[in-house]
Order: sequence, then structure tokens, then C-alpha cells
Amino acid sequence: MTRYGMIIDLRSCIGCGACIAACDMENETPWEEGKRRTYVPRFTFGSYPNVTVVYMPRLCMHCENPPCVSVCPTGASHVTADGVVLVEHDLCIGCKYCVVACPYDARYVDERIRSVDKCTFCYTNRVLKGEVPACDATCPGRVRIFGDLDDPNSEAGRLAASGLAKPLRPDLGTNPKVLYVPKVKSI
Amino acid sequence: MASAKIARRDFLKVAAVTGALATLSGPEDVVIRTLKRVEARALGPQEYTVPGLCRMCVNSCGTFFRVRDGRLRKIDPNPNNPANAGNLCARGQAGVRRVYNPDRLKRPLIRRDKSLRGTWQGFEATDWDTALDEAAAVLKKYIDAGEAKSIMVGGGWLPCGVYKPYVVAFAKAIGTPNFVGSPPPLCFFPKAFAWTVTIGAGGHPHIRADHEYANYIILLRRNLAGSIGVPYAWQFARAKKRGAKIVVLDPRMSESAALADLWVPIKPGTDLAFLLAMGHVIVSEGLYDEEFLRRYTNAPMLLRADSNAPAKTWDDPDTGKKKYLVYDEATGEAKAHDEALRPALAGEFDVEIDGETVRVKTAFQALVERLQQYTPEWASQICDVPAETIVRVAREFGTIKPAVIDPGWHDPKYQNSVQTWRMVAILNALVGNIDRPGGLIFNAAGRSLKSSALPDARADVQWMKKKGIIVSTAQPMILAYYDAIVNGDPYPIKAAVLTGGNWIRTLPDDRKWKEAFKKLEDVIAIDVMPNDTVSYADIILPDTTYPERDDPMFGVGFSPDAAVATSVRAIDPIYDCRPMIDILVQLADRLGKKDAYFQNLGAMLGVDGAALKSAYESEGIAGIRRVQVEAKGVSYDEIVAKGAVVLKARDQLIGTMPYKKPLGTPSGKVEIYSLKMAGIMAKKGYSEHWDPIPTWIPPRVMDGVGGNVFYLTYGRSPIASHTHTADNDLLASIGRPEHFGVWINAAKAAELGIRDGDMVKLTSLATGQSVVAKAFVTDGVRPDTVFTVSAWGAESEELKVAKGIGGVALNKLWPMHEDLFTLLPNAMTQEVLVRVEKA
Repeated sequence: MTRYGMIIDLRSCIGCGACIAACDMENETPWEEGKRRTYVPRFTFGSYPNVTVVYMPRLCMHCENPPCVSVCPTGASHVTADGVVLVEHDLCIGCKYCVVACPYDARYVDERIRSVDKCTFCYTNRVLKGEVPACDATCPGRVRIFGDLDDPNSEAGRLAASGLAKPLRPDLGTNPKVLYVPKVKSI
Repeated sequence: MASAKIARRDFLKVAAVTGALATLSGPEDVVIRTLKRVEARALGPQEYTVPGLCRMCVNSCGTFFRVRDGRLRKIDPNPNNPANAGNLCARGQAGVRRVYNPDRLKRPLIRRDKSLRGTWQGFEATDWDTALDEAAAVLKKYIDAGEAKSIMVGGGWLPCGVYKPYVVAFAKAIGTPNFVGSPPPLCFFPKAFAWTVTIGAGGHPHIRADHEYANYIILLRRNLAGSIGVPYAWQFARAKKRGAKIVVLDPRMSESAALADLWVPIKPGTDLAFLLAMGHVIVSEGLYDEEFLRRYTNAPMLLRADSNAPAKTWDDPDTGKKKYLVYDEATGEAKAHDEALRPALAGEFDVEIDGETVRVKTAFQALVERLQQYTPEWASQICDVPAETIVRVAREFGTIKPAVIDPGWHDPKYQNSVQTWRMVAILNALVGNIDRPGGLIFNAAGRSLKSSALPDARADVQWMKKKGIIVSTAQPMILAYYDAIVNGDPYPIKAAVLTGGNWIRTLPDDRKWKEAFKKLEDVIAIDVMPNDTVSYADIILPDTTYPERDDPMFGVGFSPDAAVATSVRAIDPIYDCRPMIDILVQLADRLGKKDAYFQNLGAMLGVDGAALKSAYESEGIAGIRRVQVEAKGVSYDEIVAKGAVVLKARDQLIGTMPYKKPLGTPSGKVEIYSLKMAGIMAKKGYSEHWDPIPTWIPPRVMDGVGGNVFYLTYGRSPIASHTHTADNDLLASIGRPEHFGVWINAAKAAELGIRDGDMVKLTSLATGQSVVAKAFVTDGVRPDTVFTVSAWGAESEELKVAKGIGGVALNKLWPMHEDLFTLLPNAMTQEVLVRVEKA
């Protein structure tokens, strides 16, 4: 069974924002603060000169156990059989339960379509046509690796199986299908 | 690389549309609605894609333009183009918003009151015929008076790096030699000069570090990851993932430094000391590649022991290269370098030259002796970097294979820029990495460079000759045109035809350029955006954005593969705009110079001018493309379908220079000792700036920092290439404070009472001018240094997004150094101190 997910390899993220721009154009998001399907905060640790900077691409985690879907009163939030969490805009009543329930800050209200919106992995517009999501397709650092996590022949599947890639907040029991390879220094 | 990505795509095709739909689950109506949407998208008859080339910066990455319902929706990377290999940055993605930018120039404009220059008042909209007639009449006035050379045809990176033949053909056709693109002394000249004298190529399209295969990478004076340049950044970022060690020398924590294993916050302008000390460690510990130096460099070349001048050189009539003497260890004699059995690499000898006994030593020996004084402890004091760090980096560079020091991009920053890059080139040669996988390799465009002298009739050439500037190294010298416009020296420049560029916002000391642009009798501007410089025009001819036009064929720069590429028109112009090439042809036509235009163009493109003209007349710019493509033996249908065609892959090219083919240096070898610089020295006397063996030169502004006075540094950010991309709403919305503001060290800011987000005033101690911008308080910058991004500071109120961003106008802080040209041409843009106060 196909189980779509994405590996985010923090080792090679250069914080360039190509993924954000690609997503905004592909999905015609409102592209304003807090109303984007993906964003890349920059974190600085330490004090001069012992400083580390981490760029952290964020998006919907497409959880196997998605709190947003269980709280949705209308069924607008749902999961496809291949594991992609989607919002059916026509069924969304704008109650924002899901926005609150999501522990990953992945959802926002798009007033233009009167619905909650979020990352879809570009499911209908790209993935079903045999393409990878727009963010993956453009990423110069090859940070984002989309694929079937259950397919041992896919890069995403291999990384998922390797144990190198880790979920965010595993303690919440959400079981994300977006996994992060942490940044390490080799010297 | 690309193949892995394609394989993954193939796998995804398994999830073909119909099959995948069966996997949808959820309430029945949801499934049906989703199905309908997928169907609409998949079948949409109004959706198509065409291949294109990105014009958000000079890298010209391959793209696909996707159009739906007549509107450009999305730009995707084109994996057929070997330069970006299926990757695209935020700026490339934001090209859509360049097209639909409401701030664009939308129709021809004419302004008759020249006193309103520098403002947007007094312009009247007009039609193309009127605008072109008036522009042609202006130019005709000079041509008829025999003063065509007082017209300057200028521009920025677009005519410099992309459309040069199309613009130069126009300048030549109307009879002026004065074409100026991006000013090399303000762009890449000092860096490119140093590389060119060492390995025969040095421009950013010509050489590269082979990040794809390197295991140890040192980066300095460049922010490869943050300034992007996708053709380089995609390999650099992946090198890290592959496990390569990366060391970044930078006074601030750039995006590249964030990626690195080791960030060395070096004192601004002192990289040369670091590099000299690395050289000291490498030669004293024997970490160099002796065989490479002996065979492929001029390290064995004999110098006179007393003066370090070449013992003897002469021309080889067969190759056009310089021959020189070496000491043959096999026979114990001085011999022509290509006749010795085993040239000595080191040592001092008494040899017979033309019947005279001369004390000589090898160039390598002279280098070793020079480097002796530059100990890591010495450099440590200058660079503010621990000596142990320098030793460690030198040892790692000398032992980890393959290792490379990146050749840089832009560097007119310090008076020591030339010697800095000379030393980088020499260090790469010391470890023997030239044109070897993982080393310092040539892009396809750098393998067959032809240099041609600038015509003597040019104003800048005459000006430089008069001032005794080294004309043999000259590149177009935009700064000489200030004197020509304002003082009529060497002869008056009275009119400007601008083909892009934004000189008012980019050339040192904007006050001088505003004065010059007010003084010009006529200014005609062809541009997409109403930038600061266009506000000085009398006639504005609006250019299209790149998805709105067909392009000719171009060689792909920035790639080790040899390839050609083109851009296919995706949509019709959304405003009353025309492509620059059409505008230039239509102007030439009105001046009776259309035949001349195509003859000139044909000569430059290496195709028949008459054929070009007739193809253009029937098909427009696409006709030019057809003639070029056919001359190259490429299928027209293939290139307009794929966007790029690879002619020769990198593996067939790498490892040839200098191993099978001589380099473009005087000797054809890697020149540890620069014969070009020795030639300058012979003519002009000794200067540390052209010492053929690198020597320490301090930056001019070592002292005076402290209290609220800082070193000024600048660079690019991933959301702006230059002022050309500053007015883009999508990029502006992605930008963060670090992209727009002034970086100030956190401890230092606390001392000065400056908090993150406060407005601060920067005053240049060199120009006295001030700018106000937002403080970005961070631990990621040296306490003695401020940093800012170079794209900002727009003053044109028609650039609503860029004006809203504000930021630092760097060219208010940069002086036009009066002795700029007494050295090698170099604008010295970081030889500036600034005072920082709360605004």
C-alpha cells in the first residue's frame, strides 16, 4: 500500500525559501504571514563566535493519527487511502477546531475560499499526475524528498527505514509521515 | 545527481492518475468532488508548458513556464538544462510575480521637460511609433553631426551577460564604440584577473569548484548558498549531505557558514593573510603535489636570484606561448622548459645563460622563501583567527582528497583582492587539483576563451591611456564615463541609451551619477521596471518580461557540460511592451541601419547576417534562433521542446587542461609565477599589487574601528539578486529581517543601546552620506563589523514594493576612490568604515 510522506534533510537546507515560493505559486496560497502551506523559520543557537544556525522547513506532517481529522465535525478534513491529509473546502464550515487541534501549526484560514487550508503534498495538482510536490521539485539543496515511505526502493522509503529521519514531537502519538534528518557537523 | 531524481519521478509515474483515484477515501461526495477536480486539472485544454530561461539573475537557469487560461501560473525547473539540473530558487519561482507586477513600465513614455529628471513627473504616455520616431530622431541628431561616439549604450548584467551581441550590434550600427555593461571593476574584475593570469580563465561563468565531487571545500568572500546561483548552490548544498567537509571564512554567519562544518569569523579583508599562512604550512610540511607542480605549472621556471625577474623567456612561434628556462636535474644545465628531462622544482643554481653565468632559483623556491615569513602566528594576529585553526585547515586541505578552495564570484572589495585570489589559485595548484574531479575545474564556457582588445576610439580606453592605467588589462571602465559626461574628458558623452541596469543605485557615490545623468543631453531607457535610473530618462521604451518573449539561442554558461539553450514565449505581453531586441532593430531600421545591425550581429554570432535578417523578418526573434540552431547542427524542434540540448558532457571535457591542451596563460601552464604580472612590473616598476609572487597587502581600512565605528560588509540574500529583483511582492513576503536589515553583533548592539528592529543610521566615513535601516541584532556577526544586503535602498517611488522595504543604499556609502585606477581597476567597495547610531 502506498504511504506518501516526505523526508526533510536538514543537513543541506540553505534557507533559500525556494520551497515557499514554489508552493505559493503552485497552490495560489494567500502568501502572507501565517497563511502559507509551508514556511522555513531560522533558529540561532549559542553566542558569538560559537553560533549554530538551523533552517527548519515546516509543513503539514500528514499524521497517521491526525488530530485535525478526528475533531472535524463535517468530514471536511480527511485522509486519502495513500495517506495524504486533505481538506474538502466545500464541506469546511470554518469552525477552526482543526487549526487549534494541530500541534504543528500547519493550518490556517483562507478567507478567499472560506475554508481552512494546508499542505496537500500537491496531491491533486501534481502527485496524481505523476509529479513530485512543487517544493520538492524546486529545492536546490535536495532537502525535501517526497515518496512512498513503504517502498524500500524509494529514497524516501530508504531514509524512513534507516532511522536517520525522525518525527517531530513523537510523544504526541500523531505518527507524522514527514520526518526530519537532523543537522550534524562533521568536524 | 539528476539521474536519481529522474528515477524517482519514474517511480511516481506508477501512481498514474486513474489508478491513484481509486485510492481516495472519505465521504462519497468528497471523493466525487476530488475526482472532478483532478479530472479538470488533468484534462484542462487550456493548460500547456513551454521551456524557458530564468532572467531573475545572470545564471539563466532552465525552466518550464506553465500557462493556464492564458495566464502564467507557475515556473518549474527544467532538468534538461545541465546548469541548474532540475533545481530552481525562490527568485526563479517568483518570476511569475515579475510578469504580473503592477509597478511595471506598461507603455512608452516621453518627457520633454528635462529639469524633471530623477522624478516621475512630466511623463506622457504615447504609442510605439511616436516613441520610436522620437528616439530615432534624438540619435540621428548625433549621427548626422558626426558625433555618434558621444552616444553611450549602457546597461547592467542583462546586456553584459546575456544579450551582449544584440546590444553591441546596435551600438556598432549607429557608429559608437561606447558600449558598457556591468562595470567589471565593480563586479568581478580583480578576482577574474587573478585567476586569468594563473590559469587562463577567471570569470564566474568560466571556472568553478567541483562541489559535486570535492571532499573538502573552503569558501571565502562568497556566500554560495545564500546568494544562490543555483548552478553552483545545488552541488554545494548536496556536497554537505554527501559528507564533504566545508569551511567558510566570513565575518558573518552567512547561509553558507550555517551549512559549514567550520565557520571562521575572519576579520574583514584579511583572507590573504590566512591564505599565505596556509601556503606556509603546506610548503613547510611538504603537503604539495610535487609531480603536478613540476609538469603542469611554471613552478620550475628559473628566476634571477637577485630580482625575482624571469631569467629568460621567449616566444614559441609554433604555439604562440612563452617558453622559459628550467634547471634540468638530469644534465645539470638550464634548458628550455619543454626540453628538460627532469626540471628541478626547488633550489638555487649557477647556470650559463647566453654565455653569462647567472645565479638563479626556481619560481617555487622563490614562493617558498616568500611564504617563510607568513607563519600561522603572524596571520593569527592580522585575521583574528587562532593559529591552530589556520594550521588545521591547511593540513586538512593538503591531505583530504579531493580538496578545493572555491574560486569566488564578485570581488572588487579590497585593494588586496587581486593578490587574495592569486593566492587561492596557487593553493589549488599546490594540491594539484586543477581540472580534476573534485578540484578547480573549467565550465564549458571557460575552455576556449578569446580575448579581444577594446577599440581605441572608446572614451574609457582614451581616458585610461591618458591616466597611465594599465590598458592591457582593461575591461569596459564604466567609471571613466563619469568624467566623459561631466567634464568632457577625454571627449564629451552627451547621450545615453540604457538597455537595463540601474547605475544610479549601483555605482559608487550616487550623487556623482545623479549629477552625470542630469548633465546628459538625452537619455533613452529600455527597461522592465521604473527603477531609480529610468527616472532620469526622457524617452522610456518598455521591455517585456522574459516569459513574454522568444529568445535567441545561447550557450549555457555556469555548467561544466557544453550545452545550448533557449527560451520560448509562454504568453503574449500583458502590457504594451516589446522585447529589447525588437526595440533595437526597430530603432536601427528608422536610422537606416538595419542591414548594418544584422551584419554586425551575424559577425558576432558566427552566422550569415543576411540570413539572420531575412529569418528575423519572417519569424521575429524566433527566426534568429532558427538560424543559430541550424548553424550549430541542433534540431530546432528538439531545442524548443526541451529548452536545452547538451552537446558534450562534462566527463569528456574534464581532465584536459592543462594536461592535453595548454591553458590561456602566457606560458600555457598554471602560472605559480605570473608572467603577465611580471610584464606589468617590467613596464610600470614594482608594486605589491602586481608582484608575480603573492605578498601581503593590508586592507586600507584596518584602523579606526571601535566605539560606534564598524567595518562595512555586504552580500546577497536568497530573496534578491540585485536591485533588478527588489520590487517583487512574493520575494518581499518571504524575506525576513536578516534579508533586509543591518546585521549588528548582539553584545555590541547592547553596548550601543540598539535593540533588534530599531532603526539605525549608518554614516559612511568615506562619503559622509547616511542611510537609515532596521537593525538585525544577532550573534552571527563579528563585533567590529556590520553587514547588509546589496539589493535595497530604492528611491524611485514607482517601485512600491522595494520602496516599502527601504534598506541600505550601499552606493551612498561607497566612495568613488580617487586613485581607483592607479592600481589594477578595482572599486574597493568594502574599504569603507561606517558610524552606526540609533536613528
